[in-house]
Amino acid sequence: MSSAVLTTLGQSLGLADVEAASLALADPAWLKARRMEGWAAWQRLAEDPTASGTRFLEGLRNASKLGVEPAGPAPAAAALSLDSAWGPLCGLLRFGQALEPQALLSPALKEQGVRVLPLRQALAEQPDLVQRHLFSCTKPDETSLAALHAALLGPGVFVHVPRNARVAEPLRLEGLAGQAFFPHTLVVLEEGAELTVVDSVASLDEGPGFTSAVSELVLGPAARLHYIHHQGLNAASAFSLRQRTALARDAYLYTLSLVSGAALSSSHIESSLQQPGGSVDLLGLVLAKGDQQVEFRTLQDHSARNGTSDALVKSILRGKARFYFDGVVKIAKAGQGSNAFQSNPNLLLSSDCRAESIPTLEIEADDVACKHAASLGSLDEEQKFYLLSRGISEKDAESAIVEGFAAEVAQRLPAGPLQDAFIEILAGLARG
Amino acid sequence: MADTELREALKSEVDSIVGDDYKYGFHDEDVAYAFKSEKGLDAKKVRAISKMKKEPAWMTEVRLKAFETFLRLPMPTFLDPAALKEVDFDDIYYYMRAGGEQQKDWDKVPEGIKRTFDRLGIPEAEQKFLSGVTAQYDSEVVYHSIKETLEKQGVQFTDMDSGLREHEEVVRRYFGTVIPTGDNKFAALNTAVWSGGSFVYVPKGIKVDIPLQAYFRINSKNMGQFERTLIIADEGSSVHYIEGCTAPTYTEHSLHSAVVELIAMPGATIRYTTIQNWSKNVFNLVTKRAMAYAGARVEWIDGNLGSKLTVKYPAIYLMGEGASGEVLSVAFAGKGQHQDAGARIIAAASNTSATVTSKSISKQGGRTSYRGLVRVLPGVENVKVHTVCDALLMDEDSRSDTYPTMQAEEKSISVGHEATVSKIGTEQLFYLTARGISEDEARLMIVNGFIEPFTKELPLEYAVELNRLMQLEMEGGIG
Repeated sequence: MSSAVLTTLGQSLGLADVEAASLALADPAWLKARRMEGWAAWQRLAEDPTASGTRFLEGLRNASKLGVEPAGPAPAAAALSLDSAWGPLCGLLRFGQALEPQALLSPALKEQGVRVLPLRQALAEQPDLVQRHLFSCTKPDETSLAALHAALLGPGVFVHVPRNARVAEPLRLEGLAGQAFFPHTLVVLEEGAELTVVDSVASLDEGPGFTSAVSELVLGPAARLHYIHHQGLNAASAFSLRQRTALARDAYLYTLSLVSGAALSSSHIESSLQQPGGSVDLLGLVLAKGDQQVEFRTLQDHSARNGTSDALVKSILRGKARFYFDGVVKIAKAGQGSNAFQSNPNLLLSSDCRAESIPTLEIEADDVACKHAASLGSLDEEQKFYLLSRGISEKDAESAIVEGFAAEVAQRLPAGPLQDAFIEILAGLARG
Repeated sequence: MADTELREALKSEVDSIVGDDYKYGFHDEDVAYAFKSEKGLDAKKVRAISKMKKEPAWMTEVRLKAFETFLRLPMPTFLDPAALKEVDFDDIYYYMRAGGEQQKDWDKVPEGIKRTFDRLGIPEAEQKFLSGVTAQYDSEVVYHSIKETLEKQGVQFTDMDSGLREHEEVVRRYFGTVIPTGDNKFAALNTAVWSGGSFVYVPKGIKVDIPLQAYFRINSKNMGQFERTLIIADEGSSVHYIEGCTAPTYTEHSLHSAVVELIAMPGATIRYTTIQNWSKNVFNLVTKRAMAYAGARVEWIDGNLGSKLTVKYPAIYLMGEGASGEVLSVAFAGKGQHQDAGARIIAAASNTSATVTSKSISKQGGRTSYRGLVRVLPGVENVKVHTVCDALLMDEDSRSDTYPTMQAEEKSISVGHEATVSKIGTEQLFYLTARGISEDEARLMIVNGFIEPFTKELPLEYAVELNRLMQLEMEGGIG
């Protein structure tokens, strides 16, 4: 059964596609080598039923024949504008496997020396910088999906913020997925830099598709990054994201992964506090209904002193949705003085949905404060009663509670237009 | 009495099957083992154990089938495979029996055994409020007394071997119904070679006000101890069973693999209290499970101090409406120890609830894990389960892990889990030391305060004993 899917993928995605992807990015030799490493690993791991990611591949049965389309002109889409549903932006970059990238960047970005480049252009203009950071957080042969991603690495985005440059308005990255999409987001913040990124992926049409995305976030000393990722693919899609952040001394990361689309979705959100004093707010919100299946895995890896990490992953489940959460807090011996928190509340709104939660702590240092909590439950009857007793209809009361539940993930964003816009978007999604 | 003759007869009968390995001179020199099988296990030995105990044919069958299942099942994979590698099934004595036969009179208990129990303080406990003592010395019960009142009430409290002889129908009906033979490799092994353990039956509506107590002890190196306990509380009854374990230290590893089955009929209450302090080379791989039917309540109070590796997840199946359960546990892991404890709550009926409180302390490189499972089955509504795990790390070499799993398929439920991991607060230490208390004493006070929710559920002398043990552990005076 699983082999049928793998054969489909294997047959439709061959070495020719790897070559085509390589040509499309005009790979330098080192990148081509990485790609071939990934292809070899994919062929090895895809056949290995014990390899990580294989279960996800089994679930790809619904995805029909996949293929990589040649790059072409963008379909008629909304014109680019810096005035978006996410509030005013500093820049917008739209790209897809079969689309020429389109960019609209405010002049302020250029003045500050901030680079926002499609990967192909970045490889040509900033070869050393890209080589240093691409695949620095993730490796091509980690899992079968990571291998496939490396082999077929397609349109990507390279963002580089120089030392002490601070950008207030968010940068929006808009990925448009076709049948097979392998986007890569590489964000590099040098020492003391600050940036907010809203990275989203949506479907071009209603057809089936498979997206395997990787985000690498490299934070220099005292850099601050707010990174929001929204997966809003169509219901015939399968999606996988590996996001990994490396934090240098005193860096700060706010990451929010919003999952609302795709039939099958798997997110691995990992942050590695490699130097003392790093701090991470790791948030996730999963909205699933119908037959959606969502997997969400987090890792808070403390390998240096005095780090802080706080994870909050929430789910709102309706219909026959299935949700699986596996979160790990790891504090190594060298992680003395760390504080780590983890919480996974799940709201089950139907009798047929199902949630499984495995929050895990692995602590090897003693001078730490570490807590975690998880819950599975339905609407709080007392809250509902309180609202009903004030003349609010049952329907409105329920949606108010659900919206409030969802909005919590936006609370750690700095107050401002982005937070306001985001709460609006969350409320819309939460209402189902 | 014809004891000696009987033993000799049995011995020669079994010798012909298992070979002559009739040994004297163990750790407690005065104790002579009447019978001890050879190391290792095969179907012949399983048959021999059953034959020696003069068991009915069906039990022999159960044992033989279980032995096949044991061979077939793999070792559990979720644990560190390296840790279990040291368990060598071929290097273990599966059955032995101490020199004395069943004793009801304390004076007739063999001197060597008595000395050991004296050290454990059993006679005083007896004088105070023991309702019955089942002191298990290695594989069989050597001392046994039941207060007349209990007998009058119809409460049955015997060792499992006598239980099988005297209440064969009850045992046959319930044996292995809570924990089926194939549940896991160690449950299968226990079913094949079980010996001793307790059998308790409390008739309908009877409230046993005094706790029933049993002591277990491993006293021979490489001695597997496979006790089997079955407690049935009939409708509307209640019972508190207490089991305490201690063992001297040996250089070779010993295996302890018990199976404990509790059945709380509608409206019944069972509390099962264990304080376990096996010596630090014992592998303690225990399967404990309870069925709680409508309106019944089951409480596991579980303290784990000793052993090299303990794997124990007391389980409660909430089988009927209104059933409730509680698991309250403490684990202490010192140097070279791993306490892999946890709790499992399965809600199979609506309107049920359970709470789990787990406290663990790791010291000198010790490792504690909480591995839990809370599962709400489809169609089951209005369930509340709350889990709290607190871990205290005493130094930088120690480790604590928490692996709870929660699965739910219904909306009208509330399943919660919270856990904390921390060290002793410097502020707490400062407060106490500023009042002239030595730092060591202050640490002990904080640790005793940390496990207080557990200690306060224990009968007084157990609480005192636990505090004393904690003190020894904290001083590094044990192991």
